[in-house]
Amino acid sequence: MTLAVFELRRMVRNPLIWAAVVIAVVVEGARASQWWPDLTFVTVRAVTASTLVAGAVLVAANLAAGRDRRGGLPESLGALPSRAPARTRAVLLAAPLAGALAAAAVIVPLVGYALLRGPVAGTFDGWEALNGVALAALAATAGAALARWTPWPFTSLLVIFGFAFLLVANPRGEYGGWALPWIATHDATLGPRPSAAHLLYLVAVAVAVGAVALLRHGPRPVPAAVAAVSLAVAVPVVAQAAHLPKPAPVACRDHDGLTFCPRPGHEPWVAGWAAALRPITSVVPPRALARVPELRQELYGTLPLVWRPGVSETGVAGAVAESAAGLEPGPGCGRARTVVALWLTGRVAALDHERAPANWSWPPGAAGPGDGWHVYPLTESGHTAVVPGRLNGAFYDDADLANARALLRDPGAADRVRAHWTTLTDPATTTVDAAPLLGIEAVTGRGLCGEPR
Amino acid sequence: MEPTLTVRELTRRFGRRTALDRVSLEFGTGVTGLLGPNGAGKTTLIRILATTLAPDGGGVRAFGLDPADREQRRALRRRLGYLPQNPGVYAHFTAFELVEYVAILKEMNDRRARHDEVRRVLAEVDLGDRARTKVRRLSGGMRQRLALAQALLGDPDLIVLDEPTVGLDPEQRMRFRALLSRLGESRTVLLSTHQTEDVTTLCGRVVVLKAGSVVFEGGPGELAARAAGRVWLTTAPPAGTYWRTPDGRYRTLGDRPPEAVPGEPGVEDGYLLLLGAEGVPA
Repeated sequence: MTLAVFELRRMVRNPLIWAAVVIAVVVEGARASQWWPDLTFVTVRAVTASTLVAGAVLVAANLAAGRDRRGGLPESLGALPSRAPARTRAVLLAAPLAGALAAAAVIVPLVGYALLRGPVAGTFDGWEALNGVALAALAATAGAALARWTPWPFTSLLVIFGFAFLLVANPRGEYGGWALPWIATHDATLGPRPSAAHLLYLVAVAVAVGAVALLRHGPRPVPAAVAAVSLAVAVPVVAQAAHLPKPAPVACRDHDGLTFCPRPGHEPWVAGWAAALRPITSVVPPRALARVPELRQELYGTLPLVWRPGVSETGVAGAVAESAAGLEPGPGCGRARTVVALWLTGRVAALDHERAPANWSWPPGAAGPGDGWHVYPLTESGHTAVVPGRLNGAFYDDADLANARALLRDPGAADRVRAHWTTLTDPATTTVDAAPLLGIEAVTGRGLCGEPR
Repeated sequence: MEPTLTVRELTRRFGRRTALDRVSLEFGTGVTGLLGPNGAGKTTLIRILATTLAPDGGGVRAFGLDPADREQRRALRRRLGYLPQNPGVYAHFTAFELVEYVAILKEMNDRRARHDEVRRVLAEVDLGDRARTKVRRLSGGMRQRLALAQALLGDPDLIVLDEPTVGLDPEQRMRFRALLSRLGESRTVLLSTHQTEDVTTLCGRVVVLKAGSVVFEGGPGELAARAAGRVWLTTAPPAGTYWRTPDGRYRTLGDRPPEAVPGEPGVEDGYLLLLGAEGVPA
């Protein structure tokens, strides 16, 4: 026990581990600050960040357990009463504890940071957080086992690179599933993660690996039995973890004339979404808002699973504006309601004016750009499918965009749009017809847009 | 002399080479010097006595304990202090940490007593003010003293030292001799060395090994006496091996050269004559 305390003291002062803690907290904290705090994702991301600490702990435990074979000390240590199994046991006690503390030092601040920011959505899964702690403990036992079974310290680096590759190349766990130490990407549509079962799995594997490390000192019945029992626990647990429960049903609620359907636990975001869309809902008549379909938070839904202020608003605003203005899929150029929809969108977020990416490819069956007009990406939220030159299903061109921008510059535009809403959103009303009502000098395009070529 | 350590018919082979050939010795309280040329079997004997190497034949008994038995070996290790020929260090430890690590492995479990003991042995080797210094920042001589410090942990009854004075400056060597002579008053100390000066000044008894066998066992005076009448000083260079003394004469061993006068024999002379070193008639 004295030796374990000594090893623990050294381990908690290990600069490699603390460097990993600082890097993980700073990098993930900076990344998380760009998003509205969602405890579900924050916990998964924090634990994913803590895998960096697990890597450092693996190396540190490997060096500690292999110490008695380095530095020319084996001869001196050989004449001491304490034997190699005791040294292995000490590292197996100290390193997982130090690893667990270091992982907690990553996870707790990141979750705490999320709680301090608002509005907080999602649910904190304590089992999920403990997965990060258990993962660091598993890394520690793996480091000790590698030191005992292989003579080269660099094997620990090979193992780390192997798992790093798995995390990067297989983030959703397509290969290996929950038998992997960690799945970095959370798919909210698949229901809650099997965090409790996976925690039990990680602990069982950590104990088994620790027992394997001790078996290096000779075939002893206790470590052999512990390894066998641990594996007997781990295998069925991970098999069970493959059967994910179905996600909880989504409950919708009305706010500012719109219907929001947040994922379970994301109700606190409804007020934030409504506030972001208020520049639209404050102008659009209630009967028009009623045309807007439910705003569902789901993968590829109108509301993204995660919300990045300054980016996520545009896609949602475009969808709401399109529906409120009655735009239909297809050519919308030169129509007053297209300008109104773009204007509404522009009240929420900047209308980007960049040429479509050179590598943009039109989805199969979608209308391509016609001659004589240009396509512009409205936004690139990264979370809502936005087609350049289209406001969801409707096409617009640079003339519509210019008219919408002119309208945005006019402080009295909201009153005029509200007063003439019915006329402006009539499908037959062109921008030229509506120019006096809108109070702008209409810029005209060169014909219909979005016609199939 | 009451023997505390007995070696009987000790044999150890490495492949076809016999490093120790049925060596029998007895050691008691005091400092015993182990001399011998390279490959004589000194380190092999030291390692067997330090329980880090098992003999192929024969046996050892120390303080009534038989190291061939696992539990007795462990009990012996608790009473043993060992400085190997190439003592390693962990460069990233502090001096205190390194010695404390060894102290813990020596089963010193009481924290306060252990820390006191670590401080004591560091002071013994004059490293008390370097306790918090990383080992990588210590000089070669300091590292050697640090290795010696760990061998002194727990005030061992049996101290086995393999070439401990390598790398020590004259002042440190003097301190080391003072320390060992004090320890030798009540403990069994074995000192393997190439430094006959250490043997002369420290050891009450000398064992000379050659090709795995004991060729001399006795006091340093007896070893020096072997050279009596075979040490010569001449004014002209004699035949064979010789060296020039500070007073301009030539010193040689063996038969009397022409016009030579007798010189004062020393341990080294006896040792060289005993081994029949190159150019020196046995």
